[in-house]
Parts: sequence; C-alpha cells; structure tokens
Amino acid sequence: MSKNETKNLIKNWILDMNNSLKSEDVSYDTPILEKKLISSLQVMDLILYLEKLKKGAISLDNMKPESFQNINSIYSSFIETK
Amino acid sequence: MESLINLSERLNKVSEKKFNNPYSTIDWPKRIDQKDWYYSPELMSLYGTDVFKTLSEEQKQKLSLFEAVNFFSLNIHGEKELIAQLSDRLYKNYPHEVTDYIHHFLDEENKHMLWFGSFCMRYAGKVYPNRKINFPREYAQGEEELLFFIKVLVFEEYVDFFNIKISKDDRVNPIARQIHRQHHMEESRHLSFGREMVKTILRQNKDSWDSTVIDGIKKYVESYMISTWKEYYNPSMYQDAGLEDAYDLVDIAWNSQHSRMLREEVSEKCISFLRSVELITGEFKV
Repeated sequence: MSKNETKNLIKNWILDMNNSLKSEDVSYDTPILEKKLISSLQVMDLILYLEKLKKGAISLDNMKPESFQNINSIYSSFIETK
Repeated sequence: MESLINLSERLNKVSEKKFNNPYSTIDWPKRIDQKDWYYSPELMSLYGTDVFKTLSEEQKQKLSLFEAVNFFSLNIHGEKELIAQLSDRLYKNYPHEVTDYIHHFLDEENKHMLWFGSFCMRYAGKVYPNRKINFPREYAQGEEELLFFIKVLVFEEYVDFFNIKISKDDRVNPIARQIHRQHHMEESRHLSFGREMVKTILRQNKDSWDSTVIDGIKKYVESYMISTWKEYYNPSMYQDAGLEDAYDLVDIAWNSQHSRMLREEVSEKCISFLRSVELITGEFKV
C-alpha cells in the first residue's frame, strides 16, 4: 500500500469518528488534536486500526500527544518507523 | 469532607495493621509450566466463541498465561499513572488524615506493580506496552480532580472483580491466585476511598458547574468505561499464544455474547455507584 493510500485510510477513520465532517474538511496536516477530531480515549482504537493496516504490531515508543497532531505525524510515528 | 476524614482514619489503621513486605509475601517458583491455568477460563476474552471451542486444552492454557500477562500489564500501566497523579496530591489540598492514606495508597500500589511486573518478566519476559494516552486539555474548577478519581474507581472496580474470581478459582495456578488475593485485600480499601473521594469532590464542585461541564463529564465517564474494557482485548496475547489472525480475534472476542454479558456483570457495581451520584443517567451498556 502506498504512503498516500495509507494516509487516506487514516483520514477515513477520522471521518468515521466524526460524522459531521466532510472529506474536504480534513487534509494530511489538519491539526486534529487542536480541532478535537480525536480524543485520548479513541487512541486505542486508532492504534488497533493502524496495526490492522500494517498487518502487525506497531512500536508504541511514540505514544505521545505530538504523534497525533495530524495525519502526517500519525503516519511517520507509527507506520513509517522500522 | 468529614466522612472522607473519618474513612481515611479507619483505612489508615487497617493499612498500618496489614502492612506487608512485598519481597516475602509471594513465593515465586523459578519457572512455571505452560500446561496450567493462569486465568479462569470463563474470564478469558475468547471464552464462549467458536474459536475457543476449537482450541486444544494446551492452547487454552497457553492463552490463559498471556491473558494473565495482559491483565497484569494493564494494571501496571493503570497504577503507574495513578501513582504519578496521586503523589502530586500529597500535602496539597487535603487534610492530613487523607494525606496519610494517600501515602498508604501509594505504598500499596507500588507493591502491586512489583508483583505484576515480577510475574510478567519472570514467566513471559515482557510487559505489554501501554495503549492509552492522555491529551492535555482545559478543565473547569474541580473537574480534573473528579475525573482522576472516577478513572481510578472504574479501573479498580473492574480489576477487583477479576481478583476475587481468580483468587478463589482452584483450577488456577497458585502463584496467579496469590497475586490476585493480595491485590484484592488492598484494592477493597482503595475502592472505599475512591468512592468517598468522588462524592466529596462532587459535593464541593457540582453546583458551580453548568450543564456543558456536567454533560462533558458524563460523556467522558461512559467513554472511559468502554475504553478501559478494550484493554482486555489485546491482540498481542493472541499472537503470543500462537493463534492466527490476532486482529480478527479481537473483534470476535469483543462482540461475543459471553464477553458482552461478562462486561455487564463486571461493570454492574461501578455503573450502579455512578448512577447513584448521577454521573450516568441514561441507558448505558459497556
């Protein structure tokens, strides 16, 4: 799966969590924490979703708020890492 | 505040009397046999599913070891956060009787973590990583304090159900039972303290909160209860037990009829308390 395909799936997950949002409301660098598009209690579901996308466990060394700033940071913190 | 002070005084006496040396409380065997139960079968996440029925006795027992490792791991992470937050409350806003009990609380939680960590590291060589995080946010006066003690209460109410059941289950290996028994003895005091704290903080602050704050707290409480349950369905334990399609198993386990009923049963006491203080008011299922 390409980088952008994965990022789009993360974007779709965020849209699913926020029914009132439209696709054009969210880009890869939309500040999702600042806009409260994801809560801390949803992170566990997101991690599980990322693991499903990656088809395996992901390193949780980057479990810090900065990693969830936007789709780009989620991708680089949890998918792109070795 | 008076009832909290009185309760703290009573709990201080019991904690002093029951003070234990964590290094001599548990007899740790050098190694354990994977062909044994480390978790009650009926409490295992996959129990009652078609998948569980197809597993051999040996596979079920191996999975029970990793369910125990997951249970102890999530306890470690919960108690790490609790200790950090609780120690921050020492010598701040509470009377000395309460502060004295916070010292016991911290001491007892530290011992629990030592037992959980010892079990995980000795017999599985790992503690599963924390899948929870807190994002910084703003709170109304007293709101953060209330949410902290509600989180402690929910977490400990769930955990104590498992402690009681597993400590009494003679199919389960003695080392696991012993840890659950010790944990329960101290957890029951923490629960009394937690309930009183929640009531006290509510009494002190509720009238100053508008409906937006109260609705936000109610929403958070329900989401937290569900999110805490999700920790019990960790794909890593299925992988470590050698089961295929670990991520599908998470969904199967979470959605099974048995799991739903277990979650309802375990959460009942907690929901009932939260209803009594009007923090859960509508229909709610975990």
